[in-house]
Amino acid sequence: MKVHLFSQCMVDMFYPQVGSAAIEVLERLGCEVIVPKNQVCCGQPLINTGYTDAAKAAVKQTIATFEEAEVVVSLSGSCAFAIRDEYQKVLADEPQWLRRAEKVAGRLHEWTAFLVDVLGVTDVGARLPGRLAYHQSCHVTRLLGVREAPLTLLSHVRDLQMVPLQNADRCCGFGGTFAVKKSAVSELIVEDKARAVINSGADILCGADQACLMNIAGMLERMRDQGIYDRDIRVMHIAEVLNSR
Amino acid sequence: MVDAQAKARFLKKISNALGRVTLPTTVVHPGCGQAAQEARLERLSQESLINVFARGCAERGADLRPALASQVCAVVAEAIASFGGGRVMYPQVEEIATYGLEKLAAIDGVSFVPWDLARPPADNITLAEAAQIGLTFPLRGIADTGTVIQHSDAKQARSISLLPIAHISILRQSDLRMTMTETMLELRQNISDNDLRHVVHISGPSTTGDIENVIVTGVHGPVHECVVLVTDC
Amino acid sequence: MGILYHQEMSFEERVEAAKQNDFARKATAAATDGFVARKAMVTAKEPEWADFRRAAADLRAHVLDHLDFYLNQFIEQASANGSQVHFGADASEVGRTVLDIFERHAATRVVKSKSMVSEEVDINRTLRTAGMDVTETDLGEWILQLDDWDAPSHIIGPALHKDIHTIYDLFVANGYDGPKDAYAMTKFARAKLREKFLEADIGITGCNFAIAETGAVTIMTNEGNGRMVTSLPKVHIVLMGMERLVPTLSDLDVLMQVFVRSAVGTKISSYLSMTVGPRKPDEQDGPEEVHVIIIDNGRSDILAGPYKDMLRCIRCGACQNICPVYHHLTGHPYGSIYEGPMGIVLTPLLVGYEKAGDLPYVSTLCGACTDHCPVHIPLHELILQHRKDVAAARGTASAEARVYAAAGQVLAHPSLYRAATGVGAPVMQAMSLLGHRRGRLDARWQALPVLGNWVRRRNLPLLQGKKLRDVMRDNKRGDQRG
Repeated sequence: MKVHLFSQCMVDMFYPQVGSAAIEVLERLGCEVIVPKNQVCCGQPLINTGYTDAAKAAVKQTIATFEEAEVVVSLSGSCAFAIRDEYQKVLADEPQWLRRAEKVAGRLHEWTAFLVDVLGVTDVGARLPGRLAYHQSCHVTRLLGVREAPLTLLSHVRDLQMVPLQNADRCCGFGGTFAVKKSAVSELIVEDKARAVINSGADILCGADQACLMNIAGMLERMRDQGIYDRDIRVMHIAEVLNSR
Repeated sequence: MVDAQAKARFLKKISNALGRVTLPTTVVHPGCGQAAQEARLERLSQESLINVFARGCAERGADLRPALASQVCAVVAEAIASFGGGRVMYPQVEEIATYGLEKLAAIDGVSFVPWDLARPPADNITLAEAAQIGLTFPLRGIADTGTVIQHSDAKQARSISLLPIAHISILRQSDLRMTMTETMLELRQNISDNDLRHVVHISGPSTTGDIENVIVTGVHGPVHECVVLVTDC
Repeated sequence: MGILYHQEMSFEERVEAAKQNDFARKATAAATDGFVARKAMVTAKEPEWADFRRAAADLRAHVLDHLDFYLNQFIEQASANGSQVHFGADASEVGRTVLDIFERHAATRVVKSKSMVSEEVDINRTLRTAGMDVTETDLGEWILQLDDWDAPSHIIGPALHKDIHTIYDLFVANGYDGPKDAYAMTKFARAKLREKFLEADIGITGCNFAIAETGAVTIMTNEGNGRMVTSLPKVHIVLMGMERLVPTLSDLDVLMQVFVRSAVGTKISSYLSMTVGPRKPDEQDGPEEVHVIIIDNGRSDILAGPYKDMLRCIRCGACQNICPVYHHLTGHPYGSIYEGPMGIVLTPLLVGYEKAGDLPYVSTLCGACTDHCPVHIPLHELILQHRKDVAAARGTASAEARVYAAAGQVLAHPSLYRAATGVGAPVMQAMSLLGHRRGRLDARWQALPVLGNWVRRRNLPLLQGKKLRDVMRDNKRGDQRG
């Protein structure tokens, strides 16, 4: 199956290894993966701050980049939600673009949902010894409704022990520009999330949205630097976990 | 009583907001929730009414005492004793004679005092305010939530079930329903038939958690709620 | 109180102040977590829960679509029952109407049951300015009153932010001489407030739900103060938000299956008082006059616009209980009597963007509120709609709009993006060498705009010299044709 990958600007800029891992997993499962070089950003940071018009350029660029693809897989739940649900509101006043957006929306899958629901795979043959706490990102869980797929995939990773994470589906406090515009509030929320991760006893924090992971990792690292706790907690995107052998 | 012009002005703004100029004369109610109401009734009806009521009362902290009609007086006497006796205020209704409750007056330490319509209202309220126990005969009960539905009229004044420290209801099992769905339908009829002006659903004693979330029983309403369920009526 | 308070402080200052109140934060977190947990427990045993939510949502939507009809029905029925119905287009009309009633009865002493709309129209200030003796009777509200009319912090538990020591001191200042425990203190409140109930001339309540077909108003409390206020004083004034209406008693049942569960996680509250009208001539207690003041105060404007669904709100507080922002901030930083998700949607609608245009940004758009709303209000979508309307109101010429427009271009054009990140990566690399953690930006950079807000409390990874697209190109993978 030929798959066009929407990598997420954050993965492209800060965490290319996550993108590479996701591609390897897909290739191992028999997919031919294209990473269109014209993709930049889904436009979500602008959409979510209310600057819909300013977002249109990025929105249209994304549509144009992916509209010829049969299958589009997004590595980020929040981007998938933006493309699938928000684009049609942004383009409500441009019927032609709206149709094109609907076309892309119809072919778009979040990465874990793609593996389980489209490829029909629950065991990718991964192995990763460790104790893993899974953060359930808001977009993936509540807004896209992808609740089972990530957990199913993780449950088949050999030697991996899942540990419960308190309030796993509570927001990490990133919220896009919220993280810097209302940083005082964002810090309170992510600190709580980091404490939950520390208290869970996990040595791996995993999630399906790299923005959340960047946020929580940033707080976890700072807390470690400050001596608040003292053990290694690796922060891994689910693609990296599933690519472990 | 309402100022017709003020009303017209007020409603017009709303009609306009809804995109119209005049008030609709009829509306078809879509009847939401009937399926859920039926499903709930069916599920709860797997158990007996009295079992569900017992659980409902326990959840709400209401003290349930089933009794045959012939035992009601004795059971009420026990409940009065458990609340420390004292003044018991009652409505001058026929149920008092039906259950032989006038015998309660003879109990040591109990003064059995009616809400006497011949007395000035202020005096009745003062008596109720200082009473240990208020006794009433509610219209209906709801098993699911441990509720008694107490109406008010001249004889069953609001104060009787409200002001004393403890409230004892005497409810006939034939007036007990499984859910609020049934009681709301019947209440509608009752309000209209009897020109009722006030009805209160009572589900357990008065509580608050406003001081550091500590649940305290007995704030403004009664500290104790007791339901005597007359099982053969 | 009015809707807004603590406006002399900026939002950031209010957040700072809230952060200092360790007790309030812990108490709010514990209370809201408790409400959520209890709700989950109760509803887990009820397979009909989802259907009742759907039914409640549909019911509220139906009422709003026919609000003029159902209000008219309510008014006719209530009038037929002997109640007097008035209209409050805005806060000042409500105030005048209330004072009129007081004047006609030469009344001075009033007891109040908790009512958000009464705070919205600032009725306490109106009454107190006119020299009336006002007593809030909900224990939480009374505590706030004793503390110089402090602002509520949660729809259901307004005094969540007060610890027992503070409350004890307030009680002592008002004649309490018992121990510092909730039981004894509550008993004191019971006695003190009972005096007030018995001597009050007028009782003022809000209205949880009015019933159109019977012309009745319902008030729910656990404490029983709602019963007292509606039974003892000779005059009962109901302040009713015009949207707080259901067509029939059967509809009330549907709403009751979602309301209290969503608020505090129990099936029902201790008391549901239904006032159909004033007492009959042969009754000895109950109000001789019932006045219902139906309040607009901006609601008809909301009804006409894209935020109409917000009027479905039944003021249960479920959204506050589940919101991660509210959880950590507590109520006061919002600076509005309406806090949390419902507050940041409703407040700007009532007071405008000039005064409350920042509130819609106090959210991560996580969607938990929408998930929990018993009447399916799409709260996170309405919050986003506000942001769009705020941006539109600011116009494209504002400084922020221009920054975002520029960002929008960079994020849309691969060449601009490549150029920006190509510059950014080595700069960040150099910056990180100055810190003590390799490959990260740390707190050293907190004075920087934007980035500084991140690195104050969180490490920031670096822009990679080789982005994913570069790796793809190097390995000759991916779509090189673009």
